[in-house]
Amino acid sequence: MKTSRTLDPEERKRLRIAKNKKYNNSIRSRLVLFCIVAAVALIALIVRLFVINATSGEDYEINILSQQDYSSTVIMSRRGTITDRNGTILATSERIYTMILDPSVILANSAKNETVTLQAVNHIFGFDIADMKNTIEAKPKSAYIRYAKELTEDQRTAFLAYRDEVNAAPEAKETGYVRGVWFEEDYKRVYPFDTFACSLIGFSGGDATRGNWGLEEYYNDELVGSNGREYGYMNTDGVAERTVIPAEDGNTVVSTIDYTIQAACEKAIAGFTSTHEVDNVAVIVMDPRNGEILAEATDKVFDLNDPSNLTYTYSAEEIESFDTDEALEAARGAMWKNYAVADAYEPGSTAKPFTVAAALENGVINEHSEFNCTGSRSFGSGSYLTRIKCNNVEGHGYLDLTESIMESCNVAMMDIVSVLGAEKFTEYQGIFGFGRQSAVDLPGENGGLLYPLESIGVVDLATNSFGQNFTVNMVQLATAFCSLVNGGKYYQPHAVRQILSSDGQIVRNIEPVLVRETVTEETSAFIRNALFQTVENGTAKTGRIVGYSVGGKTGTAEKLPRSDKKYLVSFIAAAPIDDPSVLIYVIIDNPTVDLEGGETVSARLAIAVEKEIMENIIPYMNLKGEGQLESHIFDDTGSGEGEDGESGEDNADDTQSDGTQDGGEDDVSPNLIPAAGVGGMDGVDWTDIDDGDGTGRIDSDN
Amino acid sequence: MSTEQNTASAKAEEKAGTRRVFFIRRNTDNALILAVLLLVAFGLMMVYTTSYYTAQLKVGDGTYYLSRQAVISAGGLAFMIFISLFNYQWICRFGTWPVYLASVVLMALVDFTSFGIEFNGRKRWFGIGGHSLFQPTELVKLALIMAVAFMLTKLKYKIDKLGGVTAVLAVAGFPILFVFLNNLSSSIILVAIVLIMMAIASEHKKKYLVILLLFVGAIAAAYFLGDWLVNIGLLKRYQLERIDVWKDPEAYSLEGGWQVMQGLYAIGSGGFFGKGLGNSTQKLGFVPEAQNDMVFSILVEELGIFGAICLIALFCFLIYRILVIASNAPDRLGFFLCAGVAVHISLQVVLNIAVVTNMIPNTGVTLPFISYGGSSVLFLMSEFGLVLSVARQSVGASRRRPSLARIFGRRNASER
Repeated sequence: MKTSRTLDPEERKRLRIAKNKKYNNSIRSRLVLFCIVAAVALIALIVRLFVINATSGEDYEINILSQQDYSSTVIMSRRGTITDRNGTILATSERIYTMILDPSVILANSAKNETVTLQAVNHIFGFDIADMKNTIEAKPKSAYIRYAKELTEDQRTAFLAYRDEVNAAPEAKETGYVRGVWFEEDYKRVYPFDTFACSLIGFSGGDATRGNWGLEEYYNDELVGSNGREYGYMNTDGVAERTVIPAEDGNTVVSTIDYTIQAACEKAIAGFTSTHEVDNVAVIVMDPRNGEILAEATDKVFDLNDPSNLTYTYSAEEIESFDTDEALEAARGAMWKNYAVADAYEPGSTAKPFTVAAALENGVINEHSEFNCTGSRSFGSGSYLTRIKCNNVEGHGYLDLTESIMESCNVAMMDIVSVLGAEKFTEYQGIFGFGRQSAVDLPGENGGLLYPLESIGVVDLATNSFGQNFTVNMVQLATAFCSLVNGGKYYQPHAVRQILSSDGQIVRNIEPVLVRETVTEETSAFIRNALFQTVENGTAKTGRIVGYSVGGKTGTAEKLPRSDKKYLVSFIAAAPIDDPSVLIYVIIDNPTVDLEGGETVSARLAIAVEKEIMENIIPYMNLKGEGQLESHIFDDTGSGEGEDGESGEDNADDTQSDGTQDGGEDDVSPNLIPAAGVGGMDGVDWTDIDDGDGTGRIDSDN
Repeated sequence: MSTEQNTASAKAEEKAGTRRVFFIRRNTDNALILAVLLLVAFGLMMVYTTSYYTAQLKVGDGTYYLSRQAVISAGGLAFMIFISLFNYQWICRFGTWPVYLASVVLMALVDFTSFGIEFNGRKRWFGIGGHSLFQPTELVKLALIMAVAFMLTKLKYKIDKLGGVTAVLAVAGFPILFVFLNNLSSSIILVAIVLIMMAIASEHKKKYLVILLLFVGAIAAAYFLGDWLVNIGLLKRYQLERIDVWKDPEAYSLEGGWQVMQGLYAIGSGGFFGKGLGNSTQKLGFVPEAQNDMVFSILVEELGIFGAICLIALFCFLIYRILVIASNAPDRLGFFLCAGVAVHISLQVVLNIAVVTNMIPNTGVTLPFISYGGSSVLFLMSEFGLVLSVARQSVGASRRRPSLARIFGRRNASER
């Protein structure tokens, strides 16, 4: 600031301010200039973005899509196992491998590699060399030919060992290497016993994350694991790194099914259907003490390993008649559907003990009440007169309450329900769990239909009292019956007792759930005695097993339309009756019988099936009684109740090799059908015994 | 010089009639605060969407990066407001040299002692006991902006004399050298910030134009002389590779062109409106460290060119606000502080986007506020705290809003 010295202070100040101002303006303008340059650069970069998008956007998009494959690969998880209550494996997943041939590698270096490789594959797997040669030489550039499926782990291990051995040999340099054979891992669902408990287990096919029907469907969430994943990503230096999230295998579902009891049921059904034409046969075995389903079988049999195969259930002519896809689909659906859960039907006289119990609970009758059966009861008047007959149109005469159950008297039931009233009757239907799903752990439950209180008429009430005009499913009825005989405890029915992790740790136990109390112990005791009397001296005499106390109730329901005279016969029985530990419920839907041979459609058919099963279960479960019964189910192997999965698998091999459900010595099954008449039936006149409802009761004017 | 400044501020105080040591009574620049808040929010959103996948994979918690960044951003915002409450003149008078000294010491510690923590092969983090705390490089940026602004104010016209230039270069050169030792690209940014600040202060426009051109030329020369520079140890091999990659990213896709190519794929596949927030496929392991330098490419993929324009417009507005504040600054210290911050922000934005679009070789420059990084956010916030402090002191703030006209200084520019 030399100049300032020569100037006076005023001038100096003026100059300095001017200079300051000039400087301030100039630095400002340079900052603005810089910012403008930056803004221009940013605009240029936006233009660059447009250019990238316009010129190569589509290419880049394709590149992105094509590289997705490298980013991650799925590691398959194993679907969980289903076992019976003792650990016998009923469904499991086996590791299988698909063999991939990679011509681009096999043919890469010399013809020698090709020869050696194909020889090695032939050596281990036995595939035809010429065929493989044609396959790979047809697509020499390909890197992926799925050549063989469902190879076992052993085969793969053997091949890999052989390959390493060949490649490690010193002469491999001359003769060639084994190259370009890869294996892809997968799982295959295997049911060791093929058709065993098919309606209950259900099946899982190609898609291991889905189950169809049965436990496979209901417990699908437990059974499917979560697939693992192998992720690829790039670190800052552009080096590919991989992270592995291992697969979590599905849980093991331990069902309440007992292999032995289930086998007994299936054998009894097979025995019955071999001699009778029938719409449906179904059996359910429960433990009244906790609501566990010990066995459940129907006559609709299919191979779980090949569920689309109709031949187990349908005849050749029937299969022939399914000429459209819809018909085939419907046939399969009918076969796969679990009758015991998914169908509701009119129960018939097996509902009578519920009517009696409800009336006893409400005190409108007592154990000494008497009824006078005149053969029918009439309701209404004039043209609306409805006469409902008893099974015995002559009339039972005077009956006490026990006898009304023993003789399965409709009139007595109608009298009881008329004093009980609609309100209490429908309330007790609800208490017994009818008309709504029992929440059993099986899919597709049909809750049945009831008359609601608002619309139930006198005639409806009267017919309801002996089990007509409302529908139930088997599980509902069996569970409610359990509560009748076990002192009034309604346990939620269930087919699974435990969930285990894939390494055998307990994930959770499914404890019996006491849903509600249905009746008192006094009522239960009365019903038990009445049921016992029914088998000893009543309509179910053919179900007696000497030395053991069985109590039961028959049922013969007339199916709709009534004019067709088709019947659904059933029998429900518990043993030992003073403290039941097993309950068997058999229904036979519309059996065709040999009328000329003296057979009639009656509950005796169901009793016979029940008796065969019961006679096998009693010694197996070691039920108390003075009899000396021995089980005949496993005369051949005796290992069905194996404590662990391994013995179960052995058993599977046996049954598979036989190709039959019975698993061997065929003298067992035929013996058991006539066995229905063996158990000390002295003095019983078969033709006189009709359980009750078989002779048509409802003559209605409208 | 300090006497002159003191008299200037004293005069201003007289005018305002209040003391101005700590709290300033008026005119917070709400527009600037809003712009910063928007950028921070935008940044958190992008950090979340870009890092979720890798965070889930590596840490097992998808919000790992987000939550860290959110905490630091919140703290940074509070710190920004806190700083803005103080008079920047006071802060610079007492704070410049301690901050400068701290940055030099920390840089030296990182370079030469075990306080330096290596991460991804680069020893850039300062940490104690193996826990990395922050990157001192970011502190150096703040320290140099403060120091150079302070010196330029004091030197005034002497900046055009050799002594002044030498003094500034000596002060700036020291920490830049330490930065250069472990982080070439940051040192280039620092050199550019200092040179541009000097160029703004200097009346010798042509000289500085030549110097800047030479600087750019030297970097461009490295492009041709790469091998030789590596041989004499001036460049590291990975740095040269980045140049090779830039020349032809697809050919070098295994050496590092991968990152660039994947970024380009992301940009190219975005289209004008993008795939939608969260829908990027390239962040799923393809664009490495997507939440860091390459965040802009994922932004374009998800939000499209439209999103990119919005973000760039936001940055432009930010720089414009700084420009307004600079032009209304009560003294040259305030002006140079604002200028330094404006230069810093615009350089990083331009360079980052240029890298992502493969206009220049990969330099590892982060996108301010948007890239993941605690140190960067924290020191950026400090810089904006200073800018806000300048704004609150601005001339005429009480009389009228700072306006575009004042940028050009045509009116009412002679307060000092």
